[in-house]
Amino acid sequence: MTPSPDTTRLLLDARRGDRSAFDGLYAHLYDELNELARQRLARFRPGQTLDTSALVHEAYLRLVDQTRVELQDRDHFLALASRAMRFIVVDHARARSADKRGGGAALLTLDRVPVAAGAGEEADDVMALDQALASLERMDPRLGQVVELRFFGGLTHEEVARITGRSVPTVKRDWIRARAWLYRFMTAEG
Amino acid sequence: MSPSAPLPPDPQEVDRLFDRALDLPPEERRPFLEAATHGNPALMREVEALLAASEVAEGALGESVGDFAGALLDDLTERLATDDGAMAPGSRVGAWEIEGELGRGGMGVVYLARRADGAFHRQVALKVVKRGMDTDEILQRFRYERRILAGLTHPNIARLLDGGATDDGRPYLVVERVEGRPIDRYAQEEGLDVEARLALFREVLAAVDHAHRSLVVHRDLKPSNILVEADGTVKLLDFGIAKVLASDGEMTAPATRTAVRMLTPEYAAPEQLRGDPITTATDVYALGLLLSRLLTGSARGDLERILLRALEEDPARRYPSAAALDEDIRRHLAHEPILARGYSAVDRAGRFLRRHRLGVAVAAAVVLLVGSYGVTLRISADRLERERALTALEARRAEGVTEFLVGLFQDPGLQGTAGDTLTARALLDRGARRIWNEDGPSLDPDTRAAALVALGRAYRGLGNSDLSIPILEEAVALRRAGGAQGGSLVEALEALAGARSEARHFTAADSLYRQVMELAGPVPDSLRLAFLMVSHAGVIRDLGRPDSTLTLTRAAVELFDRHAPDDHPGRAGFFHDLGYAQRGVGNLEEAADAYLRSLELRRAHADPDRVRIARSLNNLGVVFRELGRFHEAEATFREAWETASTELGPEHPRTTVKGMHLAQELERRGGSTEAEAILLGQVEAVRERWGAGHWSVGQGHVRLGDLLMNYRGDPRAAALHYREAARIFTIALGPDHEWTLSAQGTLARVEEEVRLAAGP
Repeated sequence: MTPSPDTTRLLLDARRGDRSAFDGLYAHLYDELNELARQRLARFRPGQTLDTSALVHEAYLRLVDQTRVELQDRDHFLALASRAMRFIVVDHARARSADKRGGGAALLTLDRVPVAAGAGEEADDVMALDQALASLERMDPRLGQVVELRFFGGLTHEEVARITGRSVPTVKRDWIRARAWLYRFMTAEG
Repeated sequence: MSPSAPLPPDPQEVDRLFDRALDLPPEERRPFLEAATHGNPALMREVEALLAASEVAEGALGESVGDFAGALLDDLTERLATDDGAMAPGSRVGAWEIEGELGRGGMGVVYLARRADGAFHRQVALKVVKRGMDTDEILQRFRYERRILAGLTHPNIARLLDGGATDDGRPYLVVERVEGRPIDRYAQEEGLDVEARLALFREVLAAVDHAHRSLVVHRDLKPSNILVEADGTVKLLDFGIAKVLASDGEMTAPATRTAVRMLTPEYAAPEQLRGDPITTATDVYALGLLLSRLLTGSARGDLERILLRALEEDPARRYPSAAALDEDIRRHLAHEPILARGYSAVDRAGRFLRRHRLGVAVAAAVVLLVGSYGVTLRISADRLERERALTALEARRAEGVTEFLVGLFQDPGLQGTAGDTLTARALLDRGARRIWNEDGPSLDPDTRAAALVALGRAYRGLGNSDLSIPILEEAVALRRAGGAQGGSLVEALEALAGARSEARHFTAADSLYRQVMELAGPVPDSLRLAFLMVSHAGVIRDLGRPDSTLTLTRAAVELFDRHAPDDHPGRAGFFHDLGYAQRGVGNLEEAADAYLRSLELRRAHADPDRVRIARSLNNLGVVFRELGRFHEAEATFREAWETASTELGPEHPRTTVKGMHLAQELERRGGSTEAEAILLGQVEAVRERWGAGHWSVGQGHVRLGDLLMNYRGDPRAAALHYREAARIFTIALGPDHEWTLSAQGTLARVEEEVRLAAGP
């Protein structure tokens, strides 16, 4: 795949504060990440777990014309890609959970594609986590962003620090706090 | 929350205090919070809950969504792989117009289509390679299927009508549309008798025989590939992994890798799983399984012998082809002597079939589970061979260091002394320092990894799982960096999974076990796989997933039971775990059976492990109680309690919990003072052992209070014990401890009842 002029264009427009470019870039990344994941599957052996971090970083290298952007555009891209990753995973969890509730009428398959035993349960977990994350975002949007970048985007503490404009020790601490809050929201009664 | 509850604390304030408390060493947090919340217990509780959450959140959530929901991501991956290049109704492919989708598999999608120009009215099945799946290997395989189908013309084989490439270059095949039911379902739903089933089966044989005569081996014969149309015509489908034999019997086909990966393991012959050469006898094996399924266990006499011959482990001993199998069925129907007459030893046959049926069931369970980790079966003979060679090499390299470490613990001077643990620990620390620092750089990575695994295991053995985690993580990283994929990486991952599980990092442990299972695949060592599965099941149980726990435990027990020698000491443990898992989903009768079996095995042992016997008895007692079988519960709890008292001492926490169960049963029956006496005796024993102010003395009083209140209904007597418990907890644990508050709360409630009972 060659760097896509679309992606680079959208990224540059979004930097200039073009709201529709921003939304367009997000939707675009959602599709591109799905597509990239598919291509990775073809290149690597099947059965390999989706590595969200590798996917997000590879997306940047493959979709964006590096000669036309600046470092802050990369940060911007990684942040958006992390968000897209979050929604890809959560959307799948929702679909998976809906399958289950729908009685799971099995599709005829040529070769069997076994349904993961744990996936249904994890789908519910991920939806609970997403709800907890929404609560966390209401309480402290910055902590919420750390979760999105770190947990869904698989970004390093250094990358998170650059994107959020904070020091590395601070984002490490933010991550510990955010995770504790998530756990608390997920386990709290009510 | 009750309407009278105060407003919940401000989250910002909670977060601010939480953040500051995190900076403090654990023992300073409480005083800090007490001062900072000045008498706002709700605020303090909230911060403490958050501190507690920060302790477990890492284990529960991991660092990324991959740690947290590995199976879901696998599932997503599968979906991505199958959700591609989809064509909407109305799309054109060559001369064909898509009308809908029929199904999808690992590499292709099958559509329902019709000639766009109306020249041909029947509907057809159009199979297209998925986008992203159009690798050279798969394209080659697809072209190959087309060549095979083009060479086959038989009324019982779905006919090839057309083929080509889509606009974006993906190849497609057009095959006669078959509308029917899988053969086994058809036979059942139509209520066919044995003769009719045999007639149907012989049609299958005719089709397979035609393929065999064209030197084609289907290799994936199973009910879903053999449909019966409404008029009773059998149609054989899907030559997607078929092979052409050269006239000298040698195979000429694309690389076997794809084919092995795409097998349907339940119907695969042993040589397919092993990666050995494929012949027409491979199809005979699958046909044997199909026949056995069609006859649903009613095979007797001739038919049983025919089945045995078709299902021989060794392909050379099977019927050589579908035609030979067909000949014996014809003879059976004509009451002529069959060719498989040698197979007459009835008991051997029975054994074989039983074993075989179980084998299929276990294989299916294992494959289902292993498959559920996102892999399909992938064994190839050369990979196994390579693994074995590598493992031997690694073993030789690591032997020296491992022996050194193990030797540390076998030093006779260390055995049996009171300072045992400390000394061993000191030696271990020294060994760890050497491997981490001093010798680290000079050791080659393989040796270092092997030493780290040994070290990590030794720390675990001493109960220091926390210390073993970074060591084992380093070992795993070294193994991965070294490109290890099999035995040595599995070993390191398995040790790490165990350590994570002991440290109660259940989510992380779950994900590690999945990796182990994926890498190990259906490992040749079934016992080891069974132990692995049951350990994994323990983790899943602690994650609160009773259904998965039961599935996995059941498969592990079946696998173990089948492969372990009769006197294997581990068997009792498997049944104990099965009991636990059955109870977890509410199968109480099955749970009781499993515990009884476990006990029977434990007692039969030459040197019975009485502590474990007591544990199984206790769990059995709980199940009896839940079943309402109170007499049995009482007897079982009594035996558990007495055994534990003898083995562990009357004050041991594992003894007192059993005593409590017994007392409750006795009190339920009434008419005896023994219940109270048992619990009072326990309070005494505990007091003697740990002192009057110890929290476990308070716990004993709570149990007495519960007994008197809930079973006897005597609030006045109960209040005395709750008051004593609250007093002890306040001193031992502090006034704000959960237990203190709970005891005080209960006391208040009970005192209220005393007042009510006394009247106005």
